[in-house]
Amino acid sequence: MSYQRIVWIDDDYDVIGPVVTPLKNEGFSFTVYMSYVETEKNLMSILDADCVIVDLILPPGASLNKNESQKLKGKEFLGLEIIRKLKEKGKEATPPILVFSASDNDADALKEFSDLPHLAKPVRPSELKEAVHSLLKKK
Amino acid sequence: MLSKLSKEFLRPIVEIFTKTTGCAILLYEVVDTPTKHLEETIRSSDSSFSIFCQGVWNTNDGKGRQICSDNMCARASEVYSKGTFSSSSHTCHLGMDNYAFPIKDTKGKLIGILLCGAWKVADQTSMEERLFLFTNSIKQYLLSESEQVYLREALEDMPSTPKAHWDWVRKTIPSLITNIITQYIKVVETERQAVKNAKHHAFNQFQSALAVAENLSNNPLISENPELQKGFEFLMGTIEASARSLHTLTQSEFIHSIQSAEFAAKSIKRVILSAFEKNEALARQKDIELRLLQIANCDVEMVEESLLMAFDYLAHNAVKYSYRTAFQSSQRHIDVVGRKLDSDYEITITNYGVGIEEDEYDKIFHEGYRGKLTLLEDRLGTGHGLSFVKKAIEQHHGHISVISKPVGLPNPNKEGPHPYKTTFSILIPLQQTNLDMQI
Repeated sequence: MSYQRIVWIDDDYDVIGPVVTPLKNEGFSFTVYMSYVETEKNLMSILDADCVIVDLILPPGASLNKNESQKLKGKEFLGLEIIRKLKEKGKEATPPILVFSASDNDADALKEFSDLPHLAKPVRPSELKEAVHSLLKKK
Repeated sequence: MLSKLSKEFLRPIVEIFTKTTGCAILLYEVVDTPTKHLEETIRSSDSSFSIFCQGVWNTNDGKGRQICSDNMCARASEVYSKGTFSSSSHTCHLGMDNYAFPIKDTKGKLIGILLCGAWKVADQTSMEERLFLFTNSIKQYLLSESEQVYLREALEDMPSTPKAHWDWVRKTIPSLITNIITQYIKVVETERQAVKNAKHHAFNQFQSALAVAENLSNNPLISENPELQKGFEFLMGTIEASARSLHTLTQSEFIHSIQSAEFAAKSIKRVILSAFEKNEALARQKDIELRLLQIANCDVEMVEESLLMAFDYLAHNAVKYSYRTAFQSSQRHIDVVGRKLDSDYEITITNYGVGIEEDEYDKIFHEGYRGKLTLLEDRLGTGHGLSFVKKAIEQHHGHISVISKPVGLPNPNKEGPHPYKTTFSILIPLQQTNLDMQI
């Protein structure tokens, strides 16, 4: 059994539930953040995770203040902002990141971090399990 | 960036405007590259400019035209660099009156500059007639009731004396045009966002269904029953195929939009450099040198957006599939060569890393196909990029091929078993004239 912690940043909880079943069965635990604000507040805790899965499309969140709202204006892929912040704060110690995007078109937005592995929806739970194991092996 | 749709919409308005008011228009848009720059998108025909302007352009072997173009671009850049949203007027180097209007998108981002002016209307008294003609012609392009009300109100305010009328024309009509463009962009963006949301939702639905199906199929009650197991495998295959169809559909809409775009003679070197510039940061991260040593420059008739995206995919793939820790320093580079042949332009892109097996040289361009060696090395991807590249090259009546052979010694690092030297070769005719434009 593995006792590693995965942070999943995605606005759709229903997507995460079934696809992580095999990983949960192996003992992985999951923490889910569903908006930019919520994720940003928990950056330090996220940096302690063994692996982070990020959906590029992320809602800003209700409690966004005016300044933050202004900064994020026009930014379509808030998942990218989160990756940027994680890399800034975590530097070398940033946990491995897997991008889980709606389609390959979104990958165009990932140019800045295009060496990050990404999976395009839909994936089978077994594929996700393999991708996570492969990512953790390289850690 | 303005979409093809926006340009299709704007072009007739610009034509009607220039024909009826005698006022030439230039639209510059902000191109979102790392080094943001302005690019001319739409320009009224030469005959819409004043006789004086046309006369200047035809002197000194076109140098006069170049000076005017530089001047107009500098004016647009000045407005852009100020970053404000107020219009400004100026007198050009030839003494003609011009106006500059910033255009913003729905999120308040500056996306373009409209230059307007270089008046050539000789008979100012006929202006009213011209304006009514313009406003009546343009009604079909107006987007909403409120836009038509705005136009009616603007016309009601129109002064009656020729002098005041002329001032009104100079102030009101350009801002009206800017308003129409802004409104239109708003509609296009809202529609685009709605499609994007629907797509995101649909892929999430496919995701949930596929995950539930596989989890169920692993339940002993099902996995131990071959018939049920087969049924679930079929179900999962169907979900995946449906998702692929949706992807192809959305992709093909985009491809259709660029396939129906107009060909124009543009510098191929600039397009190649721009595509590789986009991938420079990633190459640096992987310590791979991009060697664009011999890129001949010449004009090629192209749909720039389409070729730029194709070269961008190829550049990206070359970097992505190069070994980060290549063990021979001589292999830590990507070579790009562009040569002008008799009637074609040839580009070759060579990298060292994850290869392509010989029996896959054709398959690699099929939609959704992923190379065996990339799968072997756990490289993630979706197999859509090269399929798009092939479509873009064929759109230009060109040809793309690949050769990939193992070279050197097996890589002692964990990243790959054996480096391959992979070369993509592309041939594009210099001119599309006399070729069948439909594919």
